[in-house]
Amino acid sequence: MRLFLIGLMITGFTTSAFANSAGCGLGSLIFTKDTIMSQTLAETFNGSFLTQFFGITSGTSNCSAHGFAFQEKEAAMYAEANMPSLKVEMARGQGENLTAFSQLMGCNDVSAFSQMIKSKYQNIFPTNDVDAEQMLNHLKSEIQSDASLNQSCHLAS
Amino acid sequence: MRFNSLLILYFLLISVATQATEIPSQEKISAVSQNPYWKRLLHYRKNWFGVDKSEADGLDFFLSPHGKTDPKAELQSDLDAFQNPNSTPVGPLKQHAQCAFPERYRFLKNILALTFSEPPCDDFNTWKNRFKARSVTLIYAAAYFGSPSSMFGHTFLRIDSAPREGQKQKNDLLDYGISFDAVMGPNHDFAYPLRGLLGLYPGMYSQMPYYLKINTYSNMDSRDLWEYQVNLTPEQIDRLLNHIWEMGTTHFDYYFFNRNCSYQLLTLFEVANPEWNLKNQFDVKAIPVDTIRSLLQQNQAIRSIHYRPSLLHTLENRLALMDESELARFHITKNNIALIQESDTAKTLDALMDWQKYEALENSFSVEEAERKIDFRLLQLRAKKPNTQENFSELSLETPLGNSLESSTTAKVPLRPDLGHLSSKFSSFIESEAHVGAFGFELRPGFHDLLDPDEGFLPDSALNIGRVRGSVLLDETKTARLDELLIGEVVSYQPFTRLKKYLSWQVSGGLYRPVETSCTACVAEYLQGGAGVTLGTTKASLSVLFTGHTEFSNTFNDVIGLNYRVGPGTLLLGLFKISENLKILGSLEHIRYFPGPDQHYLSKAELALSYHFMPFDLRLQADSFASPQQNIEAINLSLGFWY
Repeated sequence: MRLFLIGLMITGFTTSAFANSAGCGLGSLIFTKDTIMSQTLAETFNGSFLTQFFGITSGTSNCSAHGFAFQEKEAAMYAEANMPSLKVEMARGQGENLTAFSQLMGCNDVSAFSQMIKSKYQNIFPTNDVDAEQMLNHLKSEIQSDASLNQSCHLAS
Repeated sequence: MRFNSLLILYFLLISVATQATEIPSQEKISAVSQNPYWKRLLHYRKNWFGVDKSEADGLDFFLSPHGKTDPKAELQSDLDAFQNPNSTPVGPLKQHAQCAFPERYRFLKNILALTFSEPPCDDFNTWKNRFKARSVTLIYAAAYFGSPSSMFGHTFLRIDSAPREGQKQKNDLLDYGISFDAVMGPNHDFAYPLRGLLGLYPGMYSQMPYYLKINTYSNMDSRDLWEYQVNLTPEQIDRLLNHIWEMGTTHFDYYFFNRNCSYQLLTLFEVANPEWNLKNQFDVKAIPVDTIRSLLQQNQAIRSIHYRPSLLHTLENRLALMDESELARFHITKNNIALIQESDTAKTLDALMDWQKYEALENSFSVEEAERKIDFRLLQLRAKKPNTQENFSELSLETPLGNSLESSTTAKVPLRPDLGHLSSKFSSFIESEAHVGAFGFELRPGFHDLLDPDEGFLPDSALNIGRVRGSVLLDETKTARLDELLIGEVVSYQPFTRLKKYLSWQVSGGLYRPVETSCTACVAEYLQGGAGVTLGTTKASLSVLFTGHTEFSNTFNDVIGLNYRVGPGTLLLGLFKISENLKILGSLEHIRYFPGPDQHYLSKAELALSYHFMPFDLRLQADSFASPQQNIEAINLSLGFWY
C-alpha cells in the first residue's frame, strides 16, 4: 500500500468540494485510494490527474484564486496538508514546517510560538483524533491566553 | 501657466504624431517576425524534417489560424488584437490579448515603439504580484524507482518570494512551485507508457505550494531535492513570469524522452535570458540532469545550490548522531512502539517520530489517516523533553559550485547529481569468445549501469535504454554480428538496512545473441525479470534473485525443435566497490528452460572489473557459459567514454 499527494492540487485548487469551515477539506481528499496501478499512473511521466490549471482556476474554488491560496485560508490549508509533520514538529518544539506555520499564523517570534505549543501540547492535542480544524481552534485559544504571544501574533481572522 | 499649456499641447502633438505611425511597415513586421526572441516566445523550433514551427499544441496560443507555422501572420494578428480594445477575448479566462500574452505585448511594444491603450489585466497582475518574486530556483528531484517516469529524476521551478510581512527571512516552504506535467485525465488504461512515449498526453504547466512538492517528493517518495538558484535579474524574472502566464493558454504534447518536464522549463529560461541557448542540444532525449548541466554551462547561470535530504535520509542523519544505547532503543521500539519509556532520550524519540511519520505516510490513504497513525504517547513523551541542538528538517546545505562538497555538519551529503558521470557512453572493445577474436563497439544513450561510478546516481541501481552492441569477427570470415540491442533495463539492488528491508528487483528486454548456440548471426528476443534480496552495504553486497526468462529465436529449433523457451532461474550477484575508481562485479546464474529435453539448461558465470578515470573507464570481463551442448569461455576488454 502506498499513498501519494499528487492529487492535492485538484482538491486544493480546482474543486469546490470542501467540507469544513477551517480549510478546504483537504485532509480527507488528499490521497487517492492507492492501488499499484493508480499510483504508477499518477506518477508516470510525472503526471497528475489535474483537470484545471493555474491561470484558469480563477473562481473555481473557494480556497484559491489564480493558483494561490486565499490569504485568509492559507494557514488552515497549510495545517491540513501538513498535519503529520506539524504534529511531530510541535512535539519536538522546532522544525521547518512549524516555522512556516508560525509565519502563516502571523506569529513573528517563532521560538516563543514553538515553545508555547510544545508546553501546551496536551491542550492542543487532547486526543489523537484532533484534526486540523480543531488543532487550529485549540491553538488560537492558547495564543489568546498567552499574554506575550497574544501581543506578538497578528492572527489572521 | 501658459508655458505648461504649451508643453501639454506639445506632448499632444507628439502623441498624435506617433498615433499616425501606429501601423508599422510590412518590412518592419517581416523583420521582427524573424527575430529570434519572437520565435522563442512562440516556441518555434525546426523539426527533423527542417520545418520551422511552434511546439505549442493548444490553439489558443495563436491568434492567427496560421500562427503555428507562420510567425509573421501571428505577429500581425497579435498586433491587431493588441490595438483593438474590443478584440476577441483569449483563452479560458477570456482575457484581452494584451493580458493573455504580456511578454509578447511587452516585446512588440518596445521593438516597434508603439503606444496602445491598455486594459487593466486584473487576473494577470493579481497573479504576478502575489509571488513577490525575488529569485527563481530550479529544483531537481532525485531519481526514484517506484515508478517508471521518475527513474530519470524530475525538475520543476520554485518562485522564491520576498519575506512575508513582518518576517526577516522568507521560508522556502511558503514559496510556490511551477511544473510542467503530463496530464492524463480521468480515463487511462494499460497503454499509458506507450502514450507517454508517443506524445499522446498533453503537457501543461501547473502551480502549487512548495510544501506540497516537499510532501510528495521528500516525505512520500523519499527523494532528495537539489535546489539550484538561477542567476536572474529582476527584469529577467519579470519576463519569466510573463511567459509562464502565457503558457496558461496552451498545452504541449508530452513526449517522455525529449519533450518532457525538463525540456519545457528550458524555454522559460531562454525567454528570461535571451543570451542563453539551452534547448537546441536536446533532440532525441532530454534527461533532467542534463538540462541542469546545460544551465551550469552558461556563464554564471547558477547562483547557489542547496541540498534538501529526503525524510529517510534525514532520519539516517539522526541515527548517525545517536550513541549505541540510543540506537539500540530505537531499533527495539521501532517495531513495538508500546515499549517506549520516560527514560528514552529526545534523540531516540525524534528518530522514532520520523520513522513513524514515514511509515504512516507510506501506509495511509489520507493525511488524516496518516496523522492518526503516529503514536500519541510517543508525541506526548517527546513534548516533555527539551529541544535538541541539531535540526535536520531544516538542513538545507548550501553547496559550493565547485567539485567538492565539504559539509560543515555531520550530515551525510551525497554527490550532486550534475557532478555524476555524463548520460551517454561509447565503448569499443576487443574480445575472445571460444578462441575467436572480435572487435566491436557499444553505444549507450542513457543512463547508468552497475559498474559505473555511483556518485550522483541511485547506488546499486542500473537504468539503460536503447543500448546497442555489435562486433566483427577477427577471423577469415570477418562476419559482423549484433551482440545486443537492449530496449530497456532497470535494476535495483538496494541492500537491506536495519531501517528498511528493500526488495531487490530487475527487469530487462530486447535482443541478444545466445552465445551458447554458437550461431554467429542469431539473435533472440527476450524479456526477463527477477526479484530477491540484497545483503551487505553499498560498498560490498550480495544479491540473491529468482528470475524468469522468456526468449524467442529460430536458433532454438536446432536444440529443442521449438522457436521459444521459457524458464525459471536463480541469480547470485556480488558487487564490490574497492575504491572510488574500482568496482568489481561477480555473478552466477542458472536457468532451467522449458519446454525441451530434460537437460535443457544454461549456467552463466561472470566476473567483471571496471576502473574509472573520468571521463573514461576500462573494463575487463570474463564470462563462462555452460549448456548441455557445449561450454564457452569469453574474455572482453573495453574502453568506454562518457559524453
